[in-house]
Amino acid sequence: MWAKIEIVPSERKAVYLPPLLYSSFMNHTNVLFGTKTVRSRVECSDSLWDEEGTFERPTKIQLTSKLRDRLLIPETLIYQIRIYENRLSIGPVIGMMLGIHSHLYNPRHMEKYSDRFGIYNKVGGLICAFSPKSIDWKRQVVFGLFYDIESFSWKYGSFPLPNIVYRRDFHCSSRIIKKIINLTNGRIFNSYRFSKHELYSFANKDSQLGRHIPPTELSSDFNQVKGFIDKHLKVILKPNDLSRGRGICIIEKRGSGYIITDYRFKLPVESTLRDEESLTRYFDINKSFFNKYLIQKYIPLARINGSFFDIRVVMQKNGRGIWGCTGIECRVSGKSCHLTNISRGGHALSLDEALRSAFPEDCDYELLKSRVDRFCMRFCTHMDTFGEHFAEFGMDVAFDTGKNLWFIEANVFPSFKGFKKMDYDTYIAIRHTPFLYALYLSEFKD
Amino acid sequence: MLGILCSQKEEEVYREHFYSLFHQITGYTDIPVIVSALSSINFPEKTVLGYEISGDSMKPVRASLPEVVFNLSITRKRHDLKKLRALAEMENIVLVNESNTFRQSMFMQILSSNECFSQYLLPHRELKREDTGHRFPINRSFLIKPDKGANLSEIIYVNQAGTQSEIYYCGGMRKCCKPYTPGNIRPFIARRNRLLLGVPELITYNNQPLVIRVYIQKGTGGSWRVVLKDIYFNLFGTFDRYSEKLGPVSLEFINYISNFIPGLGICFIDFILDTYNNPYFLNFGGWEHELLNKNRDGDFQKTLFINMIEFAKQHINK
Repeated sequence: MWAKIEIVPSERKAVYLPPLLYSSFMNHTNVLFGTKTVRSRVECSDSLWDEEGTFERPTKIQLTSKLRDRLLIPETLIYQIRIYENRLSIGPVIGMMLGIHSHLYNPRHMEKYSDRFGIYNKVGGLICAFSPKSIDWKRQVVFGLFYDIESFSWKYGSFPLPNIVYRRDFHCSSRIIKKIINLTNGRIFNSYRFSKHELYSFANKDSQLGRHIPPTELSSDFNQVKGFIDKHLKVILKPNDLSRGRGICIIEKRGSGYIITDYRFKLPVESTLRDEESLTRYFDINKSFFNKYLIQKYIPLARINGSFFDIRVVMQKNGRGIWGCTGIECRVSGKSCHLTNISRGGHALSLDEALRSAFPEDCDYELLKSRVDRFCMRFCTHMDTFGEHFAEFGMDVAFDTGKNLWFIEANVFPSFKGFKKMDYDTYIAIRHTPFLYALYLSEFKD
Repeated sequence: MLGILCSQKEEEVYREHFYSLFHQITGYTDIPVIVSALSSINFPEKTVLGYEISGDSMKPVRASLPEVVFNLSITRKRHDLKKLRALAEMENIVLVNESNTFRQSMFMQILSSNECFSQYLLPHRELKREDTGHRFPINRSFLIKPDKGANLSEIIYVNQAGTQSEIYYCGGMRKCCKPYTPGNIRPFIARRNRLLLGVPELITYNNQPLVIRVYIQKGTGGSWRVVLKDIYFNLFGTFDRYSEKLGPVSLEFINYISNFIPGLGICFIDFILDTYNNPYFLNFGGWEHELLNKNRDGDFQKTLFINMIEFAKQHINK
């Protein structure tokens, strides 16, 4: 049932209900809002009448100002309520946990999150944004901003610790995350950001997934790296902890020499090394390649008009808690560039357009698409056994020139810029889905 | 170790100053201090090149990043801000005052969220530079100030009391008075986003609003305290009677604000006063170079430094 709250000035802790709702209660009940529980009187109010209880025509209930202050409940929102034998739950209370740079989180900054609220009529309640540093653990209160559906703007306030937390930043200590996991009974999703190496190691434990992962090792020293290059002839060095194509270097063995394409800087730098001695000197100067770097066999990706392309698949848990594909886009690299990231000059295409352009000959496109779909679903269900709570992945896969599917990587904090430009409806669906999943985790799911 | 970060051009002045202070305080010298420029941080190696102050000496060193770092740089350059962000994200490092300049509208909105502060807030609205056709209050005095930063010299005061309307530029010795017309104001807004504040009849000095700047700092036990009050624009005037209640009010403000911006350690709050001596919030800022002005009372600067060391001790021992 949906309800709007009216505040009645009073020093008592009480809730006033219309007759039909009141009949479910004794004189006192526990009123729950987020992680706050306040024991309150329950009374029937003649001035309240039983409404439809829909989002469009919510029932009105009254709280005393004392109760409002104890619950920290903003009164301008539209809530769902649940009535049980000895409690009245108001919610849901969903938190978006942002980063640690609290001085940046103001209403103007938060505007970019506002496009998610098109789904509010399905979710309702309090959706707030806070920094992990703005949690008062003793009082179980968070300080941040909430989206006010009445004025369509973000406002500051203090709120109870949310029951469900959607993690949107990963610069928070694991100690704090553990605390939140305990307080929410595990209902913080995207609870962990894995490194590439962790990801590959875990994915390889599933033999079906492992078949699609290129040979990969953590780089440790020159001999190991050289051995890898000699074996696979063309390799890619990538940082274990970065994304968006940053820090990448491609090395190809040609005869007794090597071609290096270094993407660590603003513009790619190509160098030719004559021999092994030059390669040794190169790695002597670039010792950082042995510190938190992976070395992976380079996969010759299929091309569109001479440019490489890969496939970004957005996998999310939906309002029924089930993994599904919310969006797919293909990213085509800039001319003469190995990297397909939009941030590196790539552009987006639909999967259909990309497959038809890359494989114009007679090809079973539906089969290729179903391979992508099956791989991604299997990956997500495998990751559900990782021991963390995931609800969203941006997965990067690609076909090689032989139409074999390869797994490049998965991000728990993906960018959706390409979708925003290419297909706004898909972009919006991607933005809405995590809130539907958050609702599913709450007691207010249908 | 306690780290003090500043910009490159201030490094020499800061290290000399803190070296001098270090020798003036007793009982607080068991923690070495390193003064360095933001540009001297080596992030991959997690080290910093600076001047270490300890015992009797000050010497150039390359050291591991200190456990507690006070950011005393005031910068808006993108690459400096990126470095400060990276520093704030490092585990096992406590960065105090990641930023020292802020969007002022943010504080108006934070304080508006708590009814207790409504008496100190002036009616206000944002003037965006891209908007044309702003309408200004008629028959009511107002201030226009930048949204970013707390520079008093960039505030203009339009006094519409009585029969005349005049514009005054606030800013210490720089006074400018001209007849007010909206046309005279618009070029001022065209450059940056501003805030317009409707003001009652204010206490003024030489036709400029009296501004009282209250400096507050975290010290022992993590509690805030008032360390200094400055009166603008008569630094040598006797306006103590106006500033009496501002200490407790400032502490109430900062205790609430620091829930939303927890990484602060030193800041200031500006107030203006109406003719009934009611204070109103004007600006919020972080560290100010002015605090190390050599004309200031040396005891005050020692207190500032001792509070930093006390704060650092607490976090280093955790």
